[in-house]
Amino acid sequence: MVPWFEVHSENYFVSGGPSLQALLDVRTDYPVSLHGVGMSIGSTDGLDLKHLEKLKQLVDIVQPAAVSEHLCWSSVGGRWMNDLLPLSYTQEALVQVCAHVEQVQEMLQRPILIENVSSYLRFGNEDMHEWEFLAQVARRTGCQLLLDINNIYVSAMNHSFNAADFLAGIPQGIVGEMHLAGYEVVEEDEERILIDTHSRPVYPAVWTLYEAALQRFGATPTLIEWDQDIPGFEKLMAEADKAQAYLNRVSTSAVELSA
Amino acid sequence: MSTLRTLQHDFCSAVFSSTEDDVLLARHCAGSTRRMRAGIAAYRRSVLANLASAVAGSYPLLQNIVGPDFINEAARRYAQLYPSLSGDLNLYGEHFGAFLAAYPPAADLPWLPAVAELEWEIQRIYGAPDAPAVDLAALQTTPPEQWEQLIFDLDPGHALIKSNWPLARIWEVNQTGHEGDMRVDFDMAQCVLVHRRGYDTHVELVAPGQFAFLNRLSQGVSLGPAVAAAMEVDEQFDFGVALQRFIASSLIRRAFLSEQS
Repeated sequence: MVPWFEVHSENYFVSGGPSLQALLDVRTDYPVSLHGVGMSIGSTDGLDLKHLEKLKQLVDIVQPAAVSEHLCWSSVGGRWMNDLLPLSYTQEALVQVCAHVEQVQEMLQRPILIENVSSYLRFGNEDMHEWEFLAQVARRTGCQLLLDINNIYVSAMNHSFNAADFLAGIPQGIVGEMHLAGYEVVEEDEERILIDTHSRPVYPAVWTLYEAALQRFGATPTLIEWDQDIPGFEKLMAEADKAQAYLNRVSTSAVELSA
Repeated sequence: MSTLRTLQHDFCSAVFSSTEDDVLLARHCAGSTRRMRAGIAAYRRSVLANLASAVAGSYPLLQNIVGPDFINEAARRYAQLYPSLSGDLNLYGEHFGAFLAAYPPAADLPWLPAVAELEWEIQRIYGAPDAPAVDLAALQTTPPEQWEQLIFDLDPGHALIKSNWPLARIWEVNQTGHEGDMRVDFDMAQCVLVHRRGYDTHVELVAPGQFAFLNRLSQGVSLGPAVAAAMEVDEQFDFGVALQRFIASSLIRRAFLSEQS
């Protein structure tokens, strides 16, 4: 059974037509999550108000269960790279990101979720860790977090931090959704980099990290992201069922705990 | 300029640098130079791949005609030269036709830009507002002497393209399932109507007179001057035939008398 659907918001920035109709048809029977890849929340440019207005219109039509964006930037000086680029985790960036999250939430009249991205580059002179930055954004703006477990693992491997520290640094009660996916490894000039490609099954180490995350944050709606080299539906569903099995185990223990 | 803003500008310059120059970005980075270089290279690849695949994905017919390798390479060149101006990747690639017109490997196929223009319109129409309900009661109630003042609303899901190339024919022979005569007379210019009906987008050949007629109607011009414009192009233009065709195809959605009448 598919419990809910998630789509990229930008693919429905249209005035009409078959794709929007299909989404609305799905919406009549299922909760829908709108997952944005283009808001460029961390850009030092102002937010693109046209983009924000289109998201607002879509949210009004779809009435989604959740609206999420990424903790990243994609544009500067009006030029877009249309990629999830890493921020430097400084006080300056924190102020910038919080202002933009608040602007989006004000426009949409609802809290959003912010997702951690995979990163392949680290900056110097930072004031805090990525997880501290995320926790601060949530605390200051009231947004929730979408924890991408694969992204935590990929960044931990690329930047040699302990993924468990990441989980421990995120307060309980603010994680509203999780993502899982498979990465690929590239060798560049003898440097080994994990790339978040959404093209593989979830790796065992990521399942282990997922289990730890569920133990800490409780049963949380989880999406398998697989949008390159997409397998047959059965294989994809088996991956989703596997996540559900982890979720079921946690739900049970959560009940026992509260009893 | 703030530290973060400088970093972002330097990042952008490094990603699009034709010489892969990353000196300015390097001063913001942690870790070894080799590590930093590998990271920037990963972003350079992924940014260009995102942009290029968005472009290539908007032009499936071009891929059919000249093959995916040709289009992917052209899209990569396009991604280096044409900035993306929106966080919505679906809007990127609009100028691919203009790019192909000046792209040396496409010099032997001067009609490719016309196909690109057609495909961009097809994509645009796919997300156009849905057609309003049909209301043609005014055709029954308007006395003949006032017909000249009738205004017709067209389905917003349409585009009109006047091409120097046999665009409708190129479209036709490249459709999956097309059988029989594949010949295309490239000396022929064609006017094309693109119209989305429900889930399907249709590419239809229209005569120059009908094209001029529809063009005027789509601008909100009333029937009298629209017919006059069509007859300037084609003395034989028959507006009854044209109205019948485009009412039957649901392109004409609404008829009403202009305010001035």
